[in-house]
Amino acid sequence: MKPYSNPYAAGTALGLVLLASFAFAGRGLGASGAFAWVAARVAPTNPYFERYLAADTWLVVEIAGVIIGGFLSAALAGRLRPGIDRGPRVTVKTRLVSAFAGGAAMGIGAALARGCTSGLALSGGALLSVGSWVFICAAFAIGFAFAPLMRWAWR
Amino acid sequence: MALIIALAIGIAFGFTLERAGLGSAPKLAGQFYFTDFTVMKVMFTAIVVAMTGAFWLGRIGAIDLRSVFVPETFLLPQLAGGAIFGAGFLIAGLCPGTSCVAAASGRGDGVAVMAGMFAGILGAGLAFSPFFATTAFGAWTVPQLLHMPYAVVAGAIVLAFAVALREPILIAVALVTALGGSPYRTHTVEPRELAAWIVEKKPGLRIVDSRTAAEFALARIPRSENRPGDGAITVRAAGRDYVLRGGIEAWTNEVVKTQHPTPTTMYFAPLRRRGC
Repeated sequence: MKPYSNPYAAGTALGLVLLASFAFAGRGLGASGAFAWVAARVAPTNPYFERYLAADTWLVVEIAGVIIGGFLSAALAGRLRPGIDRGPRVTVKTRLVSAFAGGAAMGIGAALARGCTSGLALSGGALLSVGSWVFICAAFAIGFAFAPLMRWAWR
Repeated sequence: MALIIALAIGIAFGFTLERAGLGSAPKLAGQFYFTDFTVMKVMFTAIVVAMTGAFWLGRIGAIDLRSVFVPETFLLPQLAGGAIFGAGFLIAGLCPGTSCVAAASGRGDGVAVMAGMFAGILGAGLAFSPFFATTAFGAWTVPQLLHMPYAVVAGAIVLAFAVALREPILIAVALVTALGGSPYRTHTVEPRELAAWIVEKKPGLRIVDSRTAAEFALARIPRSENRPGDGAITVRAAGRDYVLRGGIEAWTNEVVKTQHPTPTTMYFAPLRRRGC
């Protein structure tokens, strides 16, 4: 298993990927939008889903790419390993339940904010969107504020 | 072609996230306990690189920054959504993008986060309420909020990053960026062309005159609105922004009081009596 890259080097690479997305696609990266795109196709239509019903397949193809890219990188670095990553004191079952619950909360938050760490925070942050910076501050503030309550899960 | 780009960008995105170690939930959660700042280092480095890159590509005219989609601002939903998202991030230890990478590298917890994400978005979407669309500000940027040049805001962010990293080279980048000028491509419109647009009632035409109210009262272009600001006369037509070349003087000399009238300029001749 190879060690992870230097975070600044990885961040620079990620910034260049984002920049390429701005330049060649005219938009940033995304993740939650792909989930909303699929949800819009199984749910009855309403003003929230309409936006994603009308959206093109760009986001879904991009997320398929993320999965391929993640797989390739993990395979090349010898990090491809089935398992459940969790804190030292939690059972597999607790971890899976909390992963699902945390995912659901992020889904609700992303639906309200119209984006997640990729599309809103990263992409919008680089384009100096006011809403993106509000989202970044709110998310990290709550994450740090409530971290002591989740200590059992991670420490 | 667009989908090949989407796939290529996605692959590169997933690859860099995995390289940084962001497919591992305990590593991500470490940030909240001050033991591992990989997420913040990667994220803010990427923001600074992409922001500065987009600024300079726009500045040299390689890209049209105005045509890049800026996520719209919905202040209260984003504040509330950010808070709920932050709690979910803490509990899950992964965010939506990184959960895909975790799942791709074989982690079951990544799959569980993805399933939860889907359930959350589906549930929240079904429970859609008017609150989702409150406090809408459109594509609103920090430079617009602060009434400061784009270059100065971008430079200040690079400077904050440079100071946090104690990196002198970045301080130089911050200064050069702050003095970099406007990243937006400016198109100019000739007074006579604008006159033709007004006569033919070009769809979506909007003329904003940012001179003072007193100057505006003295002489104005028909159909223009006054919003005192930097003194320029800007025109929006067919989704593109223009600056009127020569301002109100050029308009007066070349259209209203022109020595070489054309059918278009004749349309504005009655304005002469009003002295503009």
